[in-house]
Amino acid sequence: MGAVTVYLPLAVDTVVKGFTNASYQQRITITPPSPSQPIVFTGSGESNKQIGSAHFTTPSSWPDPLGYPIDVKLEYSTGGGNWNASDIFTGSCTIQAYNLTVVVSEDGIDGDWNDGVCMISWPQVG
Amino acid sequence: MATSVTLYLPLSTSIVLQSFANAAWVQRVSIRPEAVISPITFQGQGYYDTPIGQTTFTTPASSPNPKGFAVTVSVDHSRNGGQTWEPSVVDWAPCQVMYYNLYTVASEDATNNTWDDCTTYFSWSTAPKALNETRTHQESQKHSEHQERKERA
Repeated sequence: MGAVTVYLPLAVDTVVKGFTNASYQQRITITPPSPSQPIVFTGSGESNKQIGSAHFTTPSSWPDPLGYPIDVKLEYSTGGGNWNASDIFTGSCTIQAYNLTVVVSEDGIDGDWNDGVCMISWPQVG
Repeated sequence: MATSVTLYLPLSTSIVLQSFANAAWVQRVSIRPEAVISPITFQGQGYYDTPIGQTTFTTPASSPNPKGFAVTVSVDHSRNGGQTWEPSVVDWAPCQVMYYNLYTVASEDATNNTWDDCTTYFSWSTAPKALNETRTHQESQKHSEHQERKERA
């Protein structure tokens, strides 16, 4: 485990944000299909510390009927430059036109499932 | 559509509160908790989830409301840089992923119907007590075994 594919609707402005609640370093990697470059957030800290934010617009057409896929990978490091896959889970909610997908991770210390948090949001009007 | 929502938070819990803007007009989010905790206001503008405020508070151990600790959230927007304010419409939804809990309040200032003009997250984690105790016990056992191995070596 440690990665999940999230399918986004086409032609939407998407914001991705990374947060941590951990003393270990957390790394969040969001990989869109090539040739788009991966987005990487790295950091540590408590109280949902924001470690990064980025935005992009999904293409207006895509061959996969599920939508535009982005791979979301969450890892942690105890030091020494080694990265380990975290356990992850995904949830989502919709409020009117606002859509939010949340990927949470656990690095195995305290079982609170908030060590790395990736939030992916987009409005879908009409 | 409502111009405020009341959420009920668990007691004795550390809550992280964060607000973001996706709007040209200035957004002002007002959080009015029950007694004990002072009102909180964030204000700002910007796009792509510009952070406009963050704080942490701990809910009290008891509340007169059986649903939990009540917080009322409203959002206003200003077309003239904060001289006058108009209420935005608001709505909310919960999202629980494992032990990570998130209440999201979204608002619309009636410009583009994106419902992301100002978004506010209430987040907290609640690992079950039994799990914590089990982990503590396991960690204690691991520590003891590690110490024994060290002593034998």
